[in-house]
Amino acid sequence: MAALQEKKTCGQRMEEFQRYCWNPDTGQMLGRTLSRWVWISLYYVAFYVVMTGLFALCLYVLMQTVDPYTPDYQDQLRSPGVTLRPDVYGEKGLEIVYNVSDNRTWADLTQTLHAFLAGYSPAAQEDSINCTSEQYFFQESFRAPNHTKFSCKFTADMLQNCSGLADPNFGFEEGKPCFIIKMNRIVKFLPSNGSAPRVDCAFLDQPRELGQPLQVEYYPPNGTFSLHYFPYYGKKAQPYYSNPLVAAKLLNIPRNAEVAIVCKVMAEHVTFNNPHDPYEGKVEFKLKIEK
Amino acid sequence: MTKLPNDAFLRLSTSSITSHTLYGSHGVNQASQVSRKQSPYSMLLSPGTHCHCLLVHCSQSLQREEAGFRANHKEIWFMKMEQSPDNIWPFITSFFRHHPELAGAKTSALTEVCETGIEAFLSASPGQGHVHELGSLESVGANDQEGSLSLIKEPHSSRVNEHICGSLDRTWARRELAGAAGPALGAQRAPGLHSPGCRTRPLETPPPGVRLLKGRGFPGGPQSRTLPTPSCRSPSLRARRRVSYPPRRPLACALAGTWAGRAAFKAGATSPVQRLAIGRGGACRARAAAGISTANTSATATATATRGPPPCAPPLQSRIRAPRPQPAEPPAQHAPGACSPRAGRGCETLGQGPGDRSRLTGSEEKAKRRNAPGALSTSSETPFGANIAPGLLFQKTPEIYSVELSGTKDIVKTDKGDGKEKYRGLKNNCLELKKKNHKEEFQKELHLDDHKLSHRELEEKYGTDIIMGLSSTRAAELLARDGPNSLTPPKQTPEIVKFLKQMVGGFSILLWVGAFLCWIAYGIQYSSDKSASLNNVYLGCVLGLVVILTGIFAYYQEAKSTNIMSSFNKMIPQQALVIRDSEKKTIPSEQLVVGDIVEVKGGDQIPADIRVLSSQGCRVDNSSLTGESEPQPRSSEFTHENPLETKNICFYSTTCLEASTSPVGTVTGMVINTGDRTIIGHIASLASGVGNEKTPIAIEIEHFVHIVAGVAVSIGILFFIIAVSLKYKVLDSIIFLIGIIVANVPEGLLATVTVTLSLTAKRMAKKNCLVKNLEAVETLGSTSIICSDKTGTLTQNRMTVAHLWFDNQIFVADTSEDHSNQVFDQSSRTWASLSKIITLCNRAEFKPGQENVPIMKKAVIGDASETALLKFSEVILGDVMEIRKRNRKVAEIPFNSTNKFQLSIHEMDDPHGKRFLMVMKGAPERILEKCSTIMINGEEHPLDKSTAKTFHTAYMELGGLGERVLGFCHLYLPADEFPETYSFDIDAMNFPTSNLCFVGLLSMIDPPRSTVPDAVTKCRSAGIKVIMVTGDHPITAKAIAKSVGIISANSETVEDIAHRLNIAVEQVNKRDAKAAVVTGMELKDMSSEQLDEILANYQEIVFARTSPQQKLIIVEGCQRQDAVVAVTGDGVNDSPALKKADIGIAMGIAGSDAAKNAADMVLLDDNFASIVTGVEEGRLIFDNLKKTIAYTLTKNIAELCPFLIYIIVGLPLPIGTITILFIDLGTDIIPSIALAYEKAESDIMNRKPRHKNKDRLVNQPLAVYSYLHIGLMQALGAFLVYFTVYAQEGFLPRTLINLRVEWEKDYVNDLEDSYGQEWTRYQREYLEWTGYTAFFVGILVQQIADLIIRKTRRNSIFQQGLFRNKVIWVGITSQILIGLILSYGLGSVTALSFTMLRAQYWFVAVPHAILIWVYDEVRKLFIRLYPGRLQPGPLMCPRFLVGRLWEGPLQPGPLMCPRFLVGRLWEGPSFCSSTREKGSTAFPSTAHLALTHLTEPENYVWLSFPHLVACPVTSLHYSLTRGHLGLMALGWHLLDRKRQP
Repeated sequence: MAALQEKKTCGQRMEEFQRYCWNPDTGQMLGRTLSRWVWISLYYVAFYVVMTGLFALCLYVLMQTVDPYTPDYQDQLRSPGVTLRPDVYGEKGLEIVYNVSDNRTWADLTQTLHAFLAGYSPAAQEDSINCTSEQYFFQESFRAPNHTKFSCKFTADMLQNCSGLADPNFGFEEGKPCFIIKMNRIVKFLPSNGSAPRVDCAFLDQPRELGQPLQVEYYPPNGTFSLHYFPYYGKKAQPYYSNPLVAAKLLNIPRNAEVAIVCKVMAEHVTFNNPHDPYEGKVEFKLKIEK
Repeated sequence: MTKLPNDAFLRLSTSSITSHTLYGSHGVNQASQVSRKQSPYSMLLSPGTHCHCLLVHCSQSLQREEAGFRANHKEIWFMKMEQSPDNIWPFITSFFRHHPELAGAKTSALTEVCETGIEAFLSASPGQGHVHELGSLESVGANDQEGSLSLIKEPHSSRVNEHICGSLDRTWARRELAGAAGPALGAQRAPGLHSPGCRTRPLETPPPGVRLLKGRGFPGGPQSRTLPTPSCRSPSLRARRRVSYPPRRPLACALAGTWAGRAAFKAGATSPVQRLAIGRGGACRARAAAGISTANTSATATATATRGPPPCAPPLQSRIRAPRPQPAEPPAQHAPGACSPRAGRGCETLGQGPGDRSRLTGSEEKAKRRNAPGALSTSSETPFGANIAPGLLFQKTPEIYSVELSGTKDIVKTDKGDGKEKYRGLKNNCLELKKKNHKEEFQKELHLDDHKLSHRELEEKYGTDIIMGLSSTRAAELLARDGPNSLTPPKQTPEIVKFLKQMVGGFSILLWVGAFLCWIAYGIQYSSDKSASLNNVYLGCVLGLVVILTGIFAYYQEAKSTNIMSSFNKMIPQQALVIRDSEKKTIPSEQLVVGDIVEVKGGDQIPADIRVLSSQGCRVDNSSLTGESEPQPRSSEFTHENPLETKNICFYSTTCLEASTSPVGTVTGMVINTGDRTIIGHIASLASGVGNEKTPIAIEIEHFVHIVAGVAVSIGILFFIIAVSLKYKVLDSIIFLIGIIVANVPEGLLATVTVTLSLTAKRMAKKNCLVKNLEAVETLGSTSIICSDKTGTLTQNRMTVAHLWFDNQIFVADTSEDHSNQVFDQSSRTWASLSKIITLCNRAEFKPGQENVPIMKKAVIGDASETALLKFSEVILGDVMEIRKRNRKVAEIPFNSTNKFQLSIHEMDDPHGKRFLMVMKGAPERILEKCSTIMINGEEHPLDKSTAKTFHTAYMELGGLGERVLGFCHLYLPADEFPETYSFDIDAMNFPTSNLCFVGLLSMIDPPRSTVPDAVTKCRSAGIKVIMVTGDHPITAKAIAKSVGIISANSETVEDIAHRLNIAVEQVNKRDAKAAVVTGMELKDMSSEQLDEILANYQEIVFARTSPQQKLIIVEGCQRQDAVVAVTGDGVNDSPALKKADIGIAMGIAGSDAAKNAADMVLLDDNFASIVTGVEEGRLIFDNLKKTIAYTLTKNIAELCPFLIYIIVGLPLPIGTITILFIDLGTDIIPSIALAYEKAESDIMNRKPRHKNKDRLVNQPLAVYSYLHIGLMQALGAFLVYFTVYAQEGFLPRTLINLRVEWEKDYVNDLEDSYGQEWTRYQREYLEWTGYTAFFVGILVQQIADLIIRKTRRNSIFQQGLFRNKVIWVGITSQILIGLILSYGLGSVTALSFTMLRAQYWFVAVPHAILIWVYDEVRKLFIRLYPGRLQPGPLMCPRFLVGRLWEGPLQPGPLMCPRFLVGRLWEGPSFCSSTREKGSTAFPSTAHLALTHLTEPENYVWLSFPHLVACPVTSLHYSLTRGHLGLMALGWHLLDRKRQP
């Protein structure tokens, strides 16, 4: 095979490039004359406008097919996730470490809780209604104002000792901290067939030095999410909906030892054994209280 | 039919000869028959149907005479009578070619038998078979059914000696001799044997002792001059020369000699002294025999033995080295100096030394071993070993060559182990004899002057001994010093380097960069955060794996195609017969060293550059080296200063010729150069010096890689910067970069290209183009000039009768391959006479056993012209052999170069009275000289000046056509002067040879292959210039060029114009001439500028009489024209040109290995038409590669966009890197390969060759269209699927914007979607994967549309046919299937990030796919409607719109077609073409297919064909007879009317 590529010097290449950029003979810049450039640009503008229009049309059609209240599929939200407040993430998940005697170490934590519970102040909840039925609060029609559905109130005081009202330090200072457990919202999700879902916290692995299991005080009592907060009808239908919460006050945390604690939501339709998802139906966290 | 049991002599022999029973009665009959026929040329014995033994008298003419043989002969003896024994081999070879049915028979050759002696012998033992043990000194390799005989270099003098001595010592043998030979001898002494012609026949009583030994049988001393043979031989020969000789000429001299020898043995073998003497004599004899055996020099040997001067080599010399029978006739053998006293001394020393004893003993043992029954049986199993017959000392003559023909195998087995043992005993002696000059230094000289040296000087220079050869140790030293005698193969890249190249070539480097970036990213992550996810590591590994896998795949493909070639090149290791340590050994020729004395037989390749020491009728075929097609004689004389010209040097890799017409060449020579230092080695290194540059396709792919890599890297870096400036972390930005690179690089493409190329290579191999280098597949397609050979490539390579001239008229004969219709007037009585001469005056014959073969394909014995005449007459007249049989030949003078005519006399089968017809053919002027009358319309007219003039005109005209002209004349011999019994003597010429009657002329030419004109036309229409480069005569070259269309019918050369205008050549305006015929002589004097001018200015060029070296000059000249040049070649000397060419095409049949090595492609059928097929394939593959690349590039944008959007808009990542890899390497591979099967969308052979610098594989429009049009549409379609999935899961598009950061936070486990639902990280991730899958499916669906639109580049899909390419559908199916498997089968494997996708999402992108299709159809429509000036496109015109079509078979009329439907009109040279596609015949489109605006120019386009005449009638004819006149490749039938011309 013979040489098919002739070697060009740098100067030649530059010259060629210059000529490509502006060819005075034909009046071409970058291989096209000005008018050609205009035409081609116009074409591309038109083309992209049309394409964008088409795409927008497609999206519009898509939006028209989508139900604004309920997502078409919820197959990936079969079981709600569970989250913890205060949420301080370490290398592997939630890790909460503080020193009882040093209030700077837990000030942030209580601050987080205060901030979180701000959404549950009576003022914030004033658009919701009071519910006491302890039963599923099914609403077929939009009877609430502005074509919405009613949401049940959940105010911070329902958390009693852990509401931050009585004890703005949420027990951190005495080494019996409060943790707030929240279950994720899922549209039209019913956690169980009648019994209210209950939070159950325990040591993940029982610490040796502590002979007894974890003692927890739950607020509201029994650590249940009242059934009247369910089902959730979506943001559009229930714009003022706020998640029910459960606070767990851990009473017998050993000092100076890291303990792993898991809080599960016990309900028929809430699973907590998904190997891939550590936050489905349960929340695990590590706690170390120093003295 | 009695058959004697094996007698004593026979058993002595281990040869394959078991018994030779000749039937006396037959012998007698035959002998008398011979005499009655009064022809010297006849078979001696033809023992009828049931004789199992056949004695063939192989005189010169016998090749034609043995027609009466029957098949069931088990043994065949060949007797050599008047020719030198070396002729027996070609004879035997040809004999078996003609008589394949005899192939299984055992064969022996008797040479130098006094024929009458045999006759006498036969007649003397009537009714009783007799057994000859004649010894077999030469073994001939077994042959296969085709009768190819290979000569085996076998016996050595020493071995022969051993045989002899062994035989002597064996008492059982003696006993047998005494017992069994007695009666045999007795039988010999029948009265008939006593012939007056054999006065000195020493037969009567076997006298004891040496005296007799020195007689006929043992030319060991001066007495050998008084051999009985001359006295008996000469009369016998004379008798043969006379036309008649009496039957039973009782000259049994030869046999007498034999018997005398035996008798002598019997009587004298008892005494050791005598035994020794016998041994010596035998040794001399054996020497002679061995000399014959290996070098076939027994003509001289015979001369020595019978009538030549006494052999001067003392007997023992023969034990040391192969015999060099001293020259009896001038050209033979080396100078008398060889018979040096030194040699003589050597012999004496040996003879008297104690070593001699031991040697003898050793050899006795050997002989015993060899003769042991076990050995016998083994040897008889192997055809070869069986033939190693000991030469019995008592037989001087006849010699026997033994051939065993095994019909099944042709495995040649040499008894190597045997040989080694044998030599061991000799070694010590030989070492003693070593010359002191062994240690002489060699001088490596590139400049050869060895041809000027005398033998002695040579010996000194090379430290060797002409007689004894080198010693093994010395040879080993030299071998170690110089290396093996083989050409260093062209520098092979080590496999590992090749492999690594695949690993880092192309896109691999980009992917490696990506992989390393991944690992680095992980490293950074790890250093900051020990718990960093291993995702990046995995991705890096996957990328690395991808590179390695594609690398391995490409390497495998490449290796596979290389393997095809290497297996093709595999040759049987060459053996050389060399003299070392005074012995002949067969060693692999790689082990030859300088100074070795080698012997080469006819048919062998010269194993190294050798200086000829002696030769016998040797001719070498130097064509591969110098291009001379004539065999060159070789002798030991120094004839020319130039080593290339001198006769005494034979060159490595040339062939020593063996031909039945010429004596078998044998050469003894000294190796003067080995391996790369040979001339061929120099040429080969020259060829490898011509750099192997990149192929056009390699350049294109590189260009493409550069584009893609440029795009990838620049976009990557751009977005890296954007990402960093958008406050992304550097680490994240690196990850983006990787994603962009991965998305941009079509990972699978290079593998696809490789597969596509190899698929085409396979397809081409089926069409007889074997492509060595995959990339050459395409090069052929871009070829713009083809420099083609003539002989064999353009022509049929066989002479064929082209014209006849009789009755003052020239008739044209059919020269097509099958000769089917000879349409000339055969009613004339002149033709009857002429045909008779053609039939009778012809020695060629069909080989038997070809009854079912078409006449033109039958194999013929005879030279080219005679073959042509034979086939011609067979076609016209029917059974020629029958005609010849009816008109028996009584005398013949064969053609020779001095006579220039051939004559034979036949008995006529005229019922009215037997008379003889003398027929003669030859050079027309010589024939005319002998004539006084001329036959016109069957009547004889006196030959006057005017008729002579018409003759000359015809002669010149035929000669002017480049044809070989023969004249024919005859004469009826008057019955009164030449009665039936008249005996014609061709020596005495007792018949008239003048005043004959001239009958006619007949001319022959090697006609072009019938496919070639069409192929040339195709080349023209394809814009390829075909240049003929031939060594042939300009006139012939021009004639062939004209007939195949290389010079078109209406173009003239300068000379033609000068001739037509009757002016001097200088006065002609060169611009007027379109064609040029340039001879090598002219070329030699040309400067390169002049050559350039010729190449540029003439469309049609023929280079004639060129030396192959000039081919290189021509190629370079063409390349200066900026052309892609294809060159065909076959010789070694073509290899530089082949290398130099952009694509070298070697001939598979005629090509030498060097040429094949240098070439990029091998034409298995040597047919020019195959090149055109290759061009077609090459162009198609280029088009298809374009399609493949366009297809592959398109999705890159769809893969890249997600990353860009992800970075800028902050959507959750729409498609993962791994998923991209699954598209690139999974779903898209098979469809893109399927595009390689796409048929051409228009007649690609009507397109100009692509310009290598302008028509790129990937050009701007292609890239822009793929990226910015289809790619973008695809991306939008895929995004639609993505958005749909997310929206339906809860994330509406607007929520997704800028969601990325939150989305990807691991600790956000309650991310809200559009519905207020909260998602944990894992739930989001799973959704992300679903998004990947959705995007993947979106791309996949649209890639199906992309695949369909890529089927064509200009035509509508509906024109091309949606279902014509089935493989595309296989591709689509596979694509969908892989997608399904990935989604539903592997959806649960989290690492692959595929999820089960809802079925409906597969259809979301379908509208987009349809949109793509529609958009592309519209684009294609616009392209067809508004073709650019240089944009080739199909010319199409729906049938119903065509106005007026062909008026008649050859009358073109205008073709009318609405203008907007006309796709393209191409401006190029005029051409016609026809495609073989079913249902469509291409349109003869031309440059002059002009747009002619007629009265209503806006509405119609008129296509007219003013140059239709320029088209070869055949193609037009083809079009019209098919009745379909379609327009290019559309398959639209424009004309359905059947028209028969």
